[in-house]
Parts: sequence; structure tokens; C-alpha cells
Amino acid sequence: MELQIKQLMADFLNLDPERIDDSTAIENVAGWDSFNHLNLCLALEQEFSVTLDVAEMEAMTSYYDILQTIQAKL
Amino acid sequence: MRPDPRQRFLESLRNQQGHATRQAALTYLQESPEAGRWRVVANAARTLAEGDLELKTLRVAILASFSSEFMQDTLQALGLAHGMRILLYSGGFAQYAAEILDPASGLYAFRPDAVILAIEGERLLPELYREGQARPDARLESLTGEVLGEFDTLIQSFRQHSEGLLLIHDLIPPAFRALGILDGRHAPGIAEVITGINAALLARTRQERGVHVVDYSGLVLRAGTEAWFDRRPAMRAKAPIHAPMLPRLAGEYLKYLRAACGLTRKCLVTDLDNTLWGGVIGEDGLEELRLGPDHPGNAYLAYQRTLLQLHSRGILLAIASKNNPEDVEAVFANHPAMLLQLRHFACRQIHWQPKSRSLLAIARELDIALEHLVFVDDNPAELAEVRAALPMVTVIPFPARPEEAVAAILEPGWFDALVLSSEDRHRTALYAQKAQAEALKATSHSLESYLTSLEMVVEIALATSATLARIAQLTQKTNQFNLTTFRHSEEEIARRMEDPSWLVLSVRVTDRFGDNGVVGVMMARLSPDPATLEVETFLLSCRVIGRTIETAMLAELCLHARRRGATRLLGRIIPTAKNLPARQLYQEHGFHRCGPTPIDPSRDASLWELHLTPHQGGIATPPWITLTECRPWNCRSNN
Repeated sequence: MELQIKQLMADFLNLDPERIDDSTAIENVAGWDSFNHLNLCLALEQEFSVTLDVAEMEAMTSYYDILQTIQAKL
Repeated sequence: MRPDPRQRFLESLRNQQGHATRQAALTYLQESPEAGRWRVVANAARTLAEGDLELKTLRVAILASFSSEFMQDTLQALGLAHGMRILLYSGGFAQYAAEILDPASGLYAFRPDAVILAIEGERLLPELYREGQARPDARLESLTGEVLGEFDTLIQSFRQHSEGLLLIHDLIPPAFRALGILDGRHAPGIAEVITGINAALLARTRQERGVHVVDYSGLVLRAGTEAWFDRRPAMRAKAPIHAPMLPRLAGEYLKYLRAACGLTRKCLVTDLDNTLWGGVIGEDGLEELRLGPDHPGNAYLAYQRTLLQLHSRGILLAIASKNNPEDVEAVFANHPAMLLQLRHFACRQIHWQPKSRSLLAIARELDIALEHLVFVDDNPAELAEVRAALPMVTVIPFPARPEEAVAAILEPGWFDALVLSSEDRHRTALYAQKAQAEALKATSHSLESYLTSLEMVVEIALATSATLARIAQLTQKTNQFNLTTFRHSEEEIARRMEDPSWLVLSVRVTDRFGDNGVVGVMMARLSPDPATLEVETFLLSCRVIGRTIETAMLAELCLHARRRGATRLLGRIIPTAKNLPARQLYQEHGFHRCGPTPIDPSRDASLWELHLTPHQGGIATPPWITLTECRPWNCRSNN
């Protein structure tokens, strides 16, 4: 699951998946704008067959947060 | 370890281009519905090099009453999978009116080939969508008029400033009516008003070149209104359409965009066993085939009905099947439930050769490009063979559940065109005639039995005002079976028709496959001393070469010569680069060479003569041709 999340983040935020770790967050990724963020959240929903509240979407602003949120839903 | 599909796709992009790229993208997207795949292909589409000639570049602008950026990935990804490199422009959120009305807007600076105008009903009629019912004092027509007026302004302005295609979403009623079952009970309800607006929008754009209504309401209906929208209220402003539905929306746009790029497919090639019918004829036998009104035979029947519809739209049908031809013919002849008949297929490839070879033969026989073929088969191995050998062919896997076949064929809209001409509808019949004639030729035991089986009727008539244009066209276009290649205008020919010394004849050929129309021309002039009928033009369209029609034409000329008291037929052959098939005509029919022609010795022209007496000499019509006489010489009329 970690790999799947990293791959999606890489595709939507234009990152190298190898270089994504717990410190990867919205403050230090240049391409992580609201539009890419929305697309990423929608892709995560489909990838893991989960539904995210808009509040959850707004809160998942780092790799660590995304992983925690998705794990909690499965 | 098997390579990751994502890596495999990216690898194939680096090594391939054009059709192979398209094929790789389509396969990657079809393998699995993961959302990330759309992003991967969209990223690839955005970084494609320019100048790949096998991919069409199209500039598309999306103007919406909601934020539309979330639609970009699927449209660009699916575009690549369909052979197009789509460059996108998204108008600002709900800025559609300003973009269209202002000639200096970003929209026009983008120089779009196509503009998608997606305005939601909520935007146009907020009150109606909120209240669920027209104002008590409002009449249906005035509401329709208001909305149409708004569209009209946009259409007119767009037409002034752009040559692009304009695609307008029609409106959908909300999933629930605010008044419930009372919607429309006491005053025009929302469903009624929206239906009226959609009808009026269609009527308004019907005559407008390059303006089309996107059947958005039909699309949402197919998917279901409740499933179509993201239910979370906070998503309404950002991305109202539920993400898993986006590929279908992109697919709907692509039907129009593909047609605009000339990528409409022309021919559906179908497999037979477990596709046109359930079961394998060579193993199961006729009685065991699944085809008929009950499940699961009705699923195959539905597939046949779909093909029949395409046929009546002018789409060519063809068969590529690994089978014994006799087995297949027996199914068509004897199975009581078969909807499709052999005559619906313009071309049949039934043998044990690879399917790629069948597709090549079909394209060649029907004289269309491989890009215009859609191939339907249930066998993954056959599909893979075709994908690899002919990446330009569109491949549709016949679904494992046959009841899904109709949607698999129709939902992608491969055959959709922006205009339907009457020629389209007749094309199928024309090709079938031609293919049948070819097939008959191949199976006939001898040339004579082939010619006899054609049941040809050759009608040779004096030119009339009705045939004049066609006669002139034939003199201008015919190169191969043309003895002199003199080109004539309608005026020249009309003068000859008035001149009693000239004989102008048209040749019409009908056979058991249909009427070929006027396909031959003869023009000859009578001169005295000795009385001679001199042939100036003698030509036959290449459609009917090799059927001995020329012999019947000469026979008719002999009759005319006799009636006018001529004792000699004189003909001339002027060789050109293309008229090899015609050069032996006079020699083969007993004419004698009587020297070069004085007027054009430099072109190796030769003169040929045939002596006639009142009772003998001359040329007989072949027994397999029925010759219909023209009106007698002395009764000629030119109307």
C-alpha cells in the first residue's frame, strides 16, 4: 500500500517515488497545488475504494497523513 | 518478476510512435480501471513530441459553468488512446460568456479547433432548479425563449470569431424533483421545461454548420443521474462529476472530436464463433449453436441487430473467421434465427490464415485504409496477433458476458460521423455488389460461366440531355479502356448530338448485382466515298472491363453502319501510358490495319478497318450479353 500511495503521489505531484518519505508535505513540494491535491484525493478514493470527507481531504497534506488516513479507512 | 504494467507502458512510449503509441495507451487503460493510469497516460500525452504524423493534433477548449480542470486528465489520456494529441485550454470558472463574447479573450488567442460549452441548468435557470417548478406566471415558451436567447448570443458571437467546432451540452433535470410526483401536475414542471429547452436547442443548431449539441443528458441517463454526480456538497463547486464517470464523459466528447479529425471508422470486421453466434460451428454443429430469442442466444441476436443497424447507417460489415466456408454458409442458409445474411457483408475472409492477413485482404478488397477498420473477436490470442501486426486497426474484445456486446460496440462511438450523407447509406450496397462480383469471378469454373452468371444487359442508346453530363465526364476521366483519349466538353458533345453526320451513343450495363449506370461511350461520324463510319471515341469505364462488353458495343456499331449504308467501319488507336487494355480491340475483332493516321503519326497511332456488306461481315454480340437496341438511326431525337 505504501508503494501504491507513493506511485500516485509521484504521478499527480510530479515527484520521484523513491524520494517520497514521511517528511514529504505540501509545504516542501512545489507542484502540490489545490488542483493536483483534489485529483490526487479522487485517485486515492478509487485506488483503495474508500470515500473521503472533504475535511479529511483538506487534512491529508503530507505523505504521512495520507498513509494514516487511508490505513484507518481499510 | 513480471515488469510493472506502468513501466511497460512508459517503455513502449520511448520506443514507439504513432499507431503503436495509441495502441499501447489504449491497452494500458483497458487492462485495469485504476485512476492513476489516466494520470500516467495524460502525462505522456502532454509530453508527446510534435510532428508524429500518425497522431492528429487537436486544440480543444473547455468552457464550463463549473471548474473543469478535473476533466483534463481523462480527455487527454483517452485522446491519445484514440490516436489524438489533444492540447487543452480551460476557460476560467464560469467565465464562458466573457470568453466567447470578447474577441480578445484567451479562448480566441488559443485558436481552438473545438470548443466544449458545458453550462449547467442550475446556472441558466437557478430559480427553476431551486423551486422545482416554473413561476406560476411564467409560461413554458418564455422560459425556453430566455435560455435559447442566451445560447443564440453565444453561438453568433462564436461564429464571428472562430472557425472551430462548437459542442454544446444539453441540459439535464436534477435527479430529484423538488415537488416530487407533483412536478408538472399543475404547471410546467422542471422535467418538462428542460426537455423543451433541449428540443429547442437541437432545432436551433440543426442548420448551423459546425455547431453540435452533445447528448449529455443521454449520457447521464445511461450512467444514472445519481451515480453521475459526486454526492459530497463541498465537491459541487470543485468537481461535480463523480470521478469514475469522467472516462465516459471524455468518451462522449471524443465521438465528436474524432469525427472532426476524420477518424470515423468505416468498416466493422467480425469473428463468427462465439461472437456472431454462441458456440463453435465446426465442433458443436448447427443445432447446438446458441442463437435465438432465449438467453443466452438473445445476446448474440442483439449483437447481430446492432450490426444490422450499423449496416443501414452505411457502415461496411465484413467477416474474418477461422472456419470451413461450407460450415459458415450452412449457418447463414439454414439457421432459423440468423438476422444477418451473407449479403450484408461486403467482404468475407473465411479460412485458416492469421486474422491480420484477413484484415489486410478486407482493406484491399474494399479499398479503404486499415485505420478505418474495427475488429471484433472473442479470442485474446487473435486480438493480440492483430494488435501486434496491425496497430492501426481498432480492436474491440467481444465481452466474456455476451449481453455486454451491444454497449461494447456502440458506447465508444467509433462509427459516429458529424454528417450522414445518402451516399453513406448506399455505400454498403455498392461495395457488396462489387465484392460479390469479385467473389463470383474467383469461384466460376470458367470465364464463360462467370460471364453467363453475371446476367448482363447492355443497353446502347443515343445520347440524350439526361446522359450528356455523364458522357462528357467519361470522356474526361476514362484512361484505361479508351482507344483515343480525346477529352470533350458537354458543349462539344451537344453540338455533335445536333449534327446528323455524328452518332453519339451511351452504354449502360445492368447485371444481377445491380445497375452500373452509363459506363461506356461511342462517338462516330459518317463520311461518304466510300461510305464509312469512323469511330472517333470508344471507351469503357474500368469498373466493367473484362466482361466482353466492348464486343457488344462493336456489334451495335456495325448495325448502325449498315443502317446508314456504310460499307466500312474505321477505327483509330492512339496509345497512351495507360490504355494498354484497349489496344488489341480492333485486332481481336477482325479489323485490318490500314496504316498510320496522318494527323498524329508521332504518337504511334494506327488506323484499323472492317469491311461490311449488306448481308455479311460484322460482329456478333456474345451469347451471355442481352443487347437492348437503341432507337433507329432515322428516328433520332436528342431530348
